[in-house]
Amino acid sequence: MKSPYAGLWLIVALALAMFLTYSFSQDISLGSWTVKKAPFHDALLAEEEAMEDSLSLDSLYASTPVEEQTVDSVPKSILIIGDSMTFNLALRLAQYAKQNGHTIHAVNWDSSNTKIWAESDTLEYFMKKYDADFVFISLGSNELYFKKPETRLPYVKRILEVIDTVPYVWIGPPNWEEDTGVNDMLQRACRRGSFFRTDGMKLARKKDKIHPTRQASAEWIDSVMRWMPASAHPILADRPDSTVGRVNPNIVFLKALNK
Amino acid sequence: MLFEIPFIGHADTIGQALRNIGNMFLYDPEAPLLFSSGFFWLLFILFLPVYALLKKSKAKMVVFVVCFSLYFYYKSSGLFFLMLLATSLIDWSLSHAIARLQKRGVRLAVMWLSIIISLSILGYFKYANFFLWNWNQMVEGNFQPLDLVLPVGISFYTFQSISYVVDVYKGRISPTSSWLDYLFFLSFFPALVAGPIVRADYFLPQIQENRAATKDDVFGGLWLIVIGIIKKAVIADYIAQYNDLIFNDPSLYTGVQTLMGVLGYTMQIYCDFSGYSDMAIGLALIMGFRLGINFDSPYQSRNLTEFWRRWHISLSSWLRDYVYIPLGGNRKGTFRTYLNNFLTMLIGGLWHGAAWKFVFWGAMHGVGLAIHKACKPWLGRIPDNWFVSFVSWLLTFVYVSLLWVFFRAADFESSVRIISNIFVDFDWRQFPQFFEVRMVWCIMMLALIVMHFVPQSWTDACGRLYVRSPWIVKLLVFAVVVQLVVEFMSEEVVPFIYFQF
Repeated sequence: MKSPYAGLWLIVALALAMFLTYSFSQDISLGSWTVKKAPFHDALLAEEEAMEDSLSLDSLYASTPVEEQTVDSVPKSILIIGDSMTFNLALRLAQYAKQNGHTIHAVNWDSSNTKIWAESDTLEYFMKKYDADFVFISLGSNELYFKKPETRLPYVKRILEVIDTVPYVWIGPPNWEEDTGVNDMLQRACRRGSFFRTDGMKLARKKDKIHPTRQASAEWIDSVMRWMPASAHPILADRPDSTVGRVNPNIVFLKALNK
Repeated sequence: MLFEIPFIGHADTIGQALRNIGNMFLYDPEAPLLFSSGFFWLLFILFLPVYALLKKSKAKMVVFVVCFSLYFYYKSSGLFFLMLLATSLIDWSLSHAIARLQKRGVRLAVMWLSIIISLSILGYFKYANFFLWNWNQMVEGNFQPLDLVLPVGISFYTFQSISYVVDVYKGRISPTSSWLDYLFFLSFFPALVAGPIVRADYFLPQIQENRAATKDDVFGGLWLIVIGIIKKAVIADYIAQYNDLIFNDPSLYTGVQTLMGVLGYTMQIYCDFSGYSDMAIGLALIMGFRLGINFDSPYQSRNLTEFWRRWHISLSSWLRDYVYIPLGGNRKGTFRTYLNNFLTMLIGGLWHGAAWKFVFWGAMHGVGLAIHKACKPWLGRIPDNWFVSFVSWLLTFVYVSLLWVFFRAADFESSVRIISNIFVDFDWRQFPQFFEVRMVWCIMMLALIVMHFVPQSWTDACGRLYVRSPWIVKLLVFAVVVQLVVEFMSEEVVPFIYFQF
């Protein structure tokens, strides 16, 4: 091969060799910044890692109701966090909280997704702030139509690591069309009996055809609470009676400039 | 351990890695072959030495590049590469028939036969569902969409094949003596899936000449690729993430946020498309071929006519030569000139996609062009000072940006909501907060604006500096740019906007 192609070939080949080598090496950090790796490692060993996931996290296993658990009758400090679906869910959940003696705090982060929550300390902060001992998560709607939902698995795992041993229920996203596998991925990642699958529900939607209406969100929470006794850690979840009325929970809105 | 050697002593791992490598070479509809992907560069490392060896012999070079281009198309569009082969064979045969035939009427009929075949294939894959949907809306029937996959880049190579046949008919060019030469022209991989739309009279002589690439060509090409990667894979893909939030659910955002999303998309589509064009032009240059310029700082334009002379030049000049002029151009009176302009832009809009929003986008550009033409005598009397220049630029930029909203938004209703959001719910005081929250996004936009508005001579000087720099500098620049891609890489592949056109 004659110059100038030889020079070009060397430049491209050397650059690729550098990125390939680094993808199999230890991280290089400069202060707080870690140099990201080109995804050669993942591309070469992809299926093997996927197989590991499928072996340890059977999708059916996670959704299968656990053996009947004793209801934890201690009033809880409930924290519900998530995307824009959270607001309406929190309104109905607050009525359940009042009925059953729980306290409730909500953090509604518009347009957020698992990556945003995993890469910030927001969840950790609010869990500590409210001393949460039961967490509801409503995330996944903004990732419903990702082509490779499994790429979000590390973020989901990170969120679950932050929640650690605190009992939780991950309320699955309310599909408006068939998803590309986000629900399956979430179900695999969550502890058995801790993922509520919403995708089969028929929910009335707002004009945007995405968000369930307030009434539909209330029915959605009713459904979650009916399922609660079959969950991994059931808490008191009696349906609010007529005396409860409207409850205005403490809702933190994280949306920067959003309305 | 500092370095993980994953394959040593692990037969299963080696097998897995080999299977994965093997799979990379197969068609994967989820992972189209982009010039900014690592796999393309792996292929290019294999391609380059063979190309360099065969370049001296035109016949061998043509065969090799055609095979590589067909593989490239297979990797992007699966078995549709067979359709490309068939199309090229039909066009080539019909072009020879046109050249052989004596009677004008028969030659004309054969030319139309070729055009109809090309447009029928394009129409079936791209517009069948659109027409079926509209038909069912009219007759209130049940619409069941056909299960069609749009072959990647079909709009680009269809236009190339039409221009070739028309040029043969008009006598501007002679048909290629070899089918392979024509296939080379039609399937040339740098321009195959997303243009620029190469014209036969410009490109075919280059195949015959088979000029050896100089050092300036090769490293000038690499420089264009570097610029293209920065535009497409770093800036466009990054700013797209915010823009998508705004366009996916405009009701959640304030006027300031929406305005920034609209400006963001205006720059995103430019970066995305011109970046990919830069990469295509750079690759071709490395191989010793020139594709011509496709973007010339379009947002510097001071009127819509100028914008279309600077934006997607290969398409706008194609539309001018093969639609506008055959319709009569400006030769049939003022009204027909406006009408021809409007119809040309309408077709241009429809070329971009099978949806009414693209038709509307094209139509509004047509209206804008007609208004500009109508006002030209009056505009010519206004003194040409910096203030007039600024106002002209601003008007053009705002008009183009607003029309991009219709191009990008899911439907007409969303477009109206986005635009009304900007005007109804706007508070200047939110800007500082926006800059604080979206610092990286703003820096990207600023970098882009600077890149777009610096004089061309500065960019050219940077290119020359890069070409003359020592190899270690070239390597470092290339590596830093690739690392930037890795740093800003979004979780999902952000498809090239013009890929499916």
